[in-house]
Formats: sequence, structure tokens, C-alpha cells
Amino acid sequence: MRDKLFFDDWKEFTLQKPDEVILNHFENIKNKTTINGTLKYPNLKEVNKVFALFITHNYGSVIYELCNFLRYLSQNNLPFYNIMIMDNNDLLKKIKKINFRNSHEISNKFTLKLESYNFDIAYSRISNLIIIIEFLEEILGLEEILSLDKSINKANSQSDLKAVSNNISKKVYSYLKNLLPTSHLQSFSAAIGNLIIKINKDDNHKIVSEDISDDFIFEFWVSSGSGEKDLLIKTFTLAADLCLTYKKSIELSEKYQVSSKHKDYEEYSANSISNEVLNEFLEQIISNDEHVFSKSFNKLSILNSNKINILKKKELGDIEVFSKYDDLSMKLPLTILRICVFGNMQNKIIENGRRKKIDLPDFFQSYCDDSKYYEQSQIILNIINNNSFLCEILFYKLWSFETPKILNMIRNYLNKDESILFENFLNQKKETLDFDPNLDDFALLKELDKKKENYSPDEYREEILTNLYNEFKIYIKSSEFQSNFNSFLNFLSKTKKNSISFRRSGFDFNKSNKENLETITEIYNALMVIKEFLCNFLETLNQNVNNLKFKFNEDKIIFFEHFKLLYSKEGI
Amino acid sequence: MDNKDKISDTFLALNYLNLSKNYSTPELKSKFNIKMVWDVYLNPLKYQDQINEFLKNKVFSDAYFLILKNEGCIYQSKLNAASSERIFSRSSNEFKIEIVKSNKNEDVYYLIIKFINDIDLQLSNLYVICDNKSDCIKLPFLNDKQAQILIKKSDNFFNLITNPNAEIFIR
Repeated sequence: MRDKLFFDDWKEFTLQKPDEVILNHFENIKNKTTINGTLKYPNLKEVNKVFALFITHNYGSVIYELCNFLRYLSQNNLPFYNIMIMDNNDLLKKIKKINFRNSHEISNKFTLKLESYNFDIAYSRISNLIIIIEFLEEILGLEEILSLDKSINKANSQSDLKAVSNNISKKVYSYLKNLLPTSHLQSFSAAIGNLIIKINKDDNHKIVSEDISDDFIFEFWVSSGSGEKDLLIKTFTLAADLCLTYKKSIELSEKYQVSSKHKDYEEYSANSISNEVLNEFLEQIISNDEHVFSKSFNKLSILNSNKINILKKKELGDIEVFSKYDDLSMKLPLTILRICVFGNMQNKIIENGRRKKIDLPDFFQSYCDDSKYYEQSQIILNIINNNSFLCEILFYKLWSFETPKILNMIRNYLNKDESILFENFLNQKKETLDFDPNLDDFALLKELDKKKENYSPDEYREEILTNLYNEFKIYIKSSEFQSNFNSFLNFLSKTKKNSISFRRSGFDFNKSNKENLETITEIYNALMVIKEFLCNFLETLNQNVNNLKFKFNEDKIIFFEHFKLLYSKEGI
Repeated sequence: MDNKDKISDTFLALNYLNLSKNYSTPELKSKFNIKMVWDVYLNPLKYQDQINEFLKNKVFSDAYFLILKNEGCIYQSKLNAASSERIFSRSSNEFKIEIVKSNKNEDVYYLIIKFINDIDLQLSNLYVICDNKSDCIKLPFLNDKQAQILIKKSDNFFNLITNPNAEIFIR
């Protein structure tokens, strides 16, 4: 019995060979080991960026940089294979030694010198260049690398290096352009693009982000099977996923005018975009997990898997969709709602179909009185309220542990008048300080030096915060002002009771130690981020959809119509 | 067209990165690469039985001899002039090779190698490469900087080592 292949379960989305070839190339690089057998790239961020660089055809300038680097190595009798087998730190030391021997200077870069041509390379670029040559070896093969080495050794001028670099770039371009046209992903991309052109009835229409709308996504899903059978997309969730990814691609392409020629790869362009812009573009492509909502969501998911159930598993499941699409959720809230509601329904149809218990008319009938959109919005609202409740408990914990950092959170629990008093208090205290603790590290360090204070910027800020907190405690408790903070004090009293009766698996932060304080603060911040995001989402949804109940009834008709087509015996 | 291509490339990148997070395949094999060649160079004993098979692959042998040349070996380039099609002795600053016919057996020859200087390098194999064909024999233990190896006329190695165009690597 053969081993289960990765795509066996992907009954709908069958990736074919070209996509698997690309993924295999990527896996080979990710799994590379050092001579000692350890993973060469435990942190995949740079590898992901280089991979994205190749797929988006933005490798021209880095291949040129690599050629200069290889020429530098060959000038200094360091054969090219050293950069692929040596430990990165050892290689860096070796190059620094060579550079110092040549220039008698310590600097952060080294320079290739050929005739009247100089090319600087920063040491910080070496790790990236190593990944580039590994990808080249993976894509083009060792034979090409040996040939590259021979050409590099003969290069004596800038134009020689450009010629070598262009030759390699052309080969990479050719390889990818020959491989990808039959890839499934490429076909879906073309299908989306073509539908946009068709809808706009203009072959010269410039595709923009607004082209991917809620209606477009529905239309794409419904029309996906009308062409090639291979491109039939049964699940709305998948169709939406592809379209939302396409939308993100449009926005990135609009924002970062990075890509060079596509039709005929001709030559390395000295005027290609700056490394900073290119780097930003690549960061955006790989950054799905870096969005503030995703980070907070992942934190809570990890806690969950460690049996600390801040949010329940179902709650996490209900908001996972936002972690996937982050800011796109705000742009197409109706589609997100459709994914949650109709995506879920479709999963039930498929599951029932597997158990041979499908009865579509009955199934549809069961939703006749429901208002799933409204219910979903209420689920989100409940999570928001629950988050608020949890944050209050956590705030109370920090307050009872007398953590100065609660001063950063207290504003959320003061009423309008109390907030004014609080801001006044802060302003008064600020005036007594020699300098603003909110200065950046460098400026703060200068001020501390002037005053001959022996603190680091962080230590200074912590000290100020602690002093501020202690004075605020006195301020709030003093009989003269107590009645002005009644609301806050009542809140504390109420939350204390809630905190005592609060039970949640894994939620045992009873000791005021450093670890607990950090964890509680992290959880608090994560919950606040999620709460704010969900509030924004609901607001956006209400602005986009006038009446959720009415809209659900409308959508029910068109979705159930297509479900019938897909799943009834007479359908596809 | 260009706009659509740019979008499509970015779309592919986003999707591949997403798919790669959970991608795995038991059939994944590393492509033939420089690290593999380096491993053979570092561990000649481990690959002793396979080295001749590897050397049949031109890319492997090109990479392998490049490494040998750069990392230090005893090397002799092809002869500039040869009196005949086959040569049975050659010498360099570092060694002398003589190929002597056996008195008892027509097919058997003895390759006698004498090193002139003391050698710092660890020597395991003698490689010969000629016209993109290569072969290798294991060096026996040296006795007073000399060794004798039995080779057969019918061996590919014999054809190569007696060819004046052959390069010799000892490592």
C-alpha cells in the first residue's frame, strides 16, 4: 500500500505536477542540513523571502549581486562551493579576514574591484546570497552552477559580470515560465483575471482591487465549472479564498511597482527598483503571520494547546477566518460572513453526503426560519463581550498584584470625568520630570548621560512608571479625591467578585511573579487586539449590509440554487 | 498583460507559501548537489565501493575534481608531449609512476608509485581522468613512500592511466 500523498485529501483542489515540483524545490531548500546534520535554516523567514523573490521574477538584481560576490571570492582564492558547505559564521569570519588583509580597514562591507569598477557588498547580505545560490542550484542544477563558476572566473569587467548574470536570470525565467503555465494555481489565476476582463467588457481593462467584490466572488464560484471541468470549484470557501488571495495580489502589485519585464527577459536593469522597496514587497508577501490579529490569535491558540483556555476552542474556531484574511475582512465583510455561514452549511452537506444521509430539500427547509447572518454577528458580539469580561478579570489581577504597567490599561476602565482627572494627574507629574520618558532610546540615553544617571532607557522608564503608579495609588485613595473615582472603584469591586468566581481551565495566575505578570499582560493585549478588530469588523459589516436578516434570505436563494446544482442527483 | 502577469506571479507566491506550511511528501528526494559531492570528498572510505559509479556522472566528476584541485591533492596534468599513444611511466615533482608488465600474466600489470617528498595529506585514492572519463583505485598502505598496485590491461583504469592526455589526482 503506497504512502498517503499530501494531496490525496484534496479531492477538490488537485495540485498537479508543476505545483508539486515548485513545492518540492522549496522543501528541499527548507530541509537543507549543515555538515553536522542540523537544519541549515531553522528560521525560514529569509528562505521564504527568497522563494517569493523567484516566483515573482524579481531576482535580476540579486543574481547580479551574487555574481559580484562570487567574483570577489574567486579573486581571493575562495572556491564558490565554500559558501554552500561552510557554516555561515565561519564563512563570515573568513571573508572578514580576507577583507582586512586587503584593505587594512574594519568596516561593514567588502568591495569587489575590477578594472575601474567597484561593487560593495555588505556582510549582512551574505546569508541572503547563500540562499540565492542554493535556490539556483536547486532550480538549474549543479551543472549550471559549475558553468557559472567557470564564467565568473573569466569575468574581468562589469559588462562581463552583467552578461553572466543576465544569462543565469534568463535560464531561471525560462525554467519557471515553461513549468508554470500548466499549473493549477496559474489556471485559477488566469480564470479570475479573465472573468474580471469579461465582466468589464474591456480587454484593456486594468485590473484593480475593487474588481474583486462580494458579487464577483459569488459569480466566480458559480461560473467556475462552466469552462474546464478541472477548474470546477465546488466549495464557496475555496473560491473565496482564491479570490481574496488574488485581491491581496492586486493590492501588493499596485503598491509596489516591483516587477521587471515578463515577456522577454532581456537584461539586468541598473534602474530597477531599490532593495528597500523590494524587501518591503517581499515582507508583505510572507507576512501573513505578522499581522497583529494573527499574532494575537496564534498566541491564544498556543495557550489553548497548552491547556490554558482563555478563549474556548469553539470561540477560536469562530474567529479563525479573520486570522487568515486580516485586513481583507474589513474590505469584504459580506464575503467573510458568507464563508462562515454558507461555507459551514456546505461542509454539512458534504459530510451528510459522505454518510449517504443527504436530503437537500429537507436540509434547506431546516433553515427557512433562521437568520444565520444575524446569528453569526451575535456570535462575534458575544466573543467581544466575553473578551471584555476576560480583560476586566485580567486587569483586576494586575491591579491586585500592584503592577505599575496597569497605568497603560487603566484608561479603558475610567469614565469620562475620571479620565480627565487621570490625564491632569499625568500632565502634572510630567512637568516635574527632567525630560520626557517617551523619547526614543537614543535620545533618552543622551539625556541620561547628561544627567550622569546610570540607567538604561528601559530601566529609566520602568522607574518613572513605578513612581507614577505609587503616586497614583495615593492620589486615588486620598479622601479629598475619592468620590471622584467612584465609578472606577465600583468597577474594581464588581470585578473582584467576578474574579473570585471565575473558573477557566489553566487560568491559575495566582502568584505575583514575573512570569505570570508577563503572561497576563500578553493575554490582555491579545484579547484587546482581537476585541478591537472584531468591533471594527461588525461596524464595517453594518455599514455594508443594511439588514442582515434580509440579506441572508436573499443569499439563501442564490446559494441554495447552486448547492442544488452541485449536489442533487441531477446536478454536476 | 503585464499588469495581469504581475498579479498572477504574486498570487502564485502567496499560494505556494501558504500551501508549503503543511506540505510534505514521502517521495521528496534531494537533488544531486555540491554538498553530496563534498560529502564524498570528506569520506572517501565510506564511498569507496561507489566512487567509480559516481565518477561516471560527468557533473559529479567535474565537481569532484574541482574540489580535489582546490582542497589540496597531488596532481599531475596531462603530458605535453608523448612519444607514443600509450605511456608507461610518468613523473612530476611529487611522484613517479611506472606501469610494469607482469612476467607471468599478459593481462596483468603493476602500477608502482613512488612519492618523492614527505606527504602531509591523507591519501586514499588515485584518480585518473581523461576525455571526460574517469576512474579510481584505492591506494594501499605506503611503505617507505612507495606502493604497488595490481591492475589489468582489460580494466578501464589501465586505458586511462596509460593515456598521455590523462590527468592524475591523488588524495
